[in-house]
Amino acid sequence: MTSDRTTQRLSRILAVLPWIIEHEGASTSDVVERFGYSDTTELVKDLHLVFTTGLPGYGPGDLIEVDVFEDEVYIDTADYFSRPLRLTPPEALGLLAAGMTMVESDQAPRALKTAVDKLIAVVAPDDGDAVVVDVPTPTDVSVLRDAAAERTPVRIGYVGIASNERSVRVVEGHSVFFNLGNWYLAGFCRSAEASRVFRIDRIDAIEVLDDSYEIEDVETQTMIRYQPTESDVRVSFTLGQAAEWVAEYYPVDAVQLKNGSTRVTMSVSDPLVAARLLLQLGDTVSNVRGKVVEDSLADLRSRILTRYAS
Amino acid sequence: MQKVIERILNLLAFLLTVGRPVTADEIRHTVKGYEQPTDVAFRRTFERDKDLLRSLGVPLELHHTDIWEVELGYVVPTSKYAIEDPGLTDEERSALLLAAQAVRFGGQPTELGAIFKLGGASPPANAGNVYADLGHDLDLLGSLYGAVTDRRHATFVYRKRARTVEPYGLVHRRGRWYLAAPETGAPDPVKAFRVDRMTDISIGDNADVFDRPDTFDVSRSISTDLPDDRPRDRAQIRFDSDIAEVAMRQISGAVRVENGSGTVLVDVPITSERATIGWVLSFDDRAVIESPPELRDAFVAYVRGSA
Repeated sequence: MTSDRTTQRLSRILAVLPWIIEHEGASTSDVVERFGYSDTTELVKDLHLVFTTGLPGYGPGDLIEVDVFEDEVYIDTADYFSRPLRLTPPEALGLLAAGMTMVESDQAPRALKTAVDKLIAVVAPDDGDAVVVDVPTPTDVSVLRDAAAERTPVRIGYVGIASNERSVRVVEGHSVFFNLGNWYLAGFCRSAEASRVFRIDRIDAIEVLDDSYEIEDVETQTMIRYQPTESDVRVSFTLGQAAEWVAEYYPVDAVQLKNGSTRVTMSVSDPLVAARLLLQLGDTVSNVRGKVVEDSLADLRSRILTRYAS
Repeated sequence: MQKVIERILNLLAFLLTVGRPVTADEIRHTVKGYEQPTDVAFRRTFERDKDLLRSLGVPLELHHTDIWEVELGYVVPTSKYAIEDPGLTDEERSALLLAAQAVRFGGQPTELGAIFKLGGASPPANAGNVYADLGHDLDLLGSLYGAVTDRRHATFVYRKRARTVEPYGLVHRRGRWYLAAPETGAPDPVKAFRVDRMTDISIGDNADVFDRPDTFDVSRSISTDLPDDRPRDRAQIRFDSDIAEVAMRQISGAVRVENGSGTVLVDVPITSERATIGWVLSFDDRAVIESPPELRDAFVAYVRGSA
């Protein structure tokens, strides 16, 4: 197998060559910065490699000429590499979708909008509208982003997704991110004294505080992912046809039963989350097994019915 | 690694300059790096190299070597090899770099290869603090996108049935990717296929096999609302005060009727009974349906029924 590293290195070389050919005498430091080399040594290694290649005959005049003169670099007899390769469809889509996402979210400089338009004009002149990225962005997102950028803590009213309880918290924002159709605020929650993620449409009040904080090096979160822990509770149930989407939507272990239905096992940190789902699914699920969740379900059902008793 | 890269640069230089289709045999005897002792070893090396070139986006094509059409040879048409210069400024390249670094696909950061092809970019001074993850595998989405722009058929299994479609466009909406495409032979209606539900996807070899109507609007072809989302009636639901604001935001057209003691009565448009019950249940015991009475009764029966 050819490794990804080989592919990436080759891909970069094929992009660097045209640029140096076009910018005769380019400074090595500029090339290093532009093409993400760690240092000049790494660049020179690639150039030395190019130096031994060329056209059949492979003598002087056939091989690519590379000169590094003080800080300047020249390439000659390689006109066939004077234009960069076209973008592959995944590369084109990746850049377009990334650009559009930031433009749509109203978080982008003007230059990004013009860059996306220019890119579309060359990769898909007839299909400018063939990619659409919907990023509905309420103003709260900008408020929280700005507060995080200025390292100003915010006091928020938040209705928890698992608990459905409202609480007031002070959060030192780190970043905002868009995932699965929702915006989230990631940061350090002073109230919980831990890192937390808040879904922004469940924040009902924001107060920017007259205070500040430092951000330590933290890993940037861009995805909502359920991370199982040892204290999770598990519940198993069988999905009827109308509930088959559950196996696709939630991170569950699923097995196909002989009669064609699907048996899933779900693990949750809060049994109420599973109980709520089971109650919503109603008679489209059967054979629920899992003591803690079953108890939680019975409790939830009786709490709801109590409110309808009067 | 070094040997592989040297050999492939030699191969590509040869293909870009030779100006005619060349057979594998000619390549073996002409291009430096193919001194493998056996036919088998040469074949293996050459196959790998072809795959690598194609994965980089090199248009490696097979054409007949002469008018007698006896032999096939390899060609890299220079017109298809190079990217047309989009004329980006350095500021625009840096903006693209920042966007590429901020937006991921299924946890994977975007490869910078595309930025390099556009001339590279200096990393922006401030990395920014806005990110997104658009989910899903970019290679797979990219192959569908290629089918859209090249007008190729796509074939996949969807809801247990194999289908062949004419891909018109891709939409990321409500956190999921959809392919807007009519099935072949049935141009109407254009359907929205959820990409994460497709399996066994393959893209046709032939380009330009269909036309997309000029009037087609990709965004509008995929409805913003669920099909069954036309409000028919309204219901009054009493929420505990502290969650009422968040609840009201979830339904457009929700109206506050009155504030009670610790509760808020909200008037909302409703769709199906089933969907409304599911939504009210998402608030546990903190929301109570007050009217219409039939909906209230259906709700109670639903909660009891699943005992």
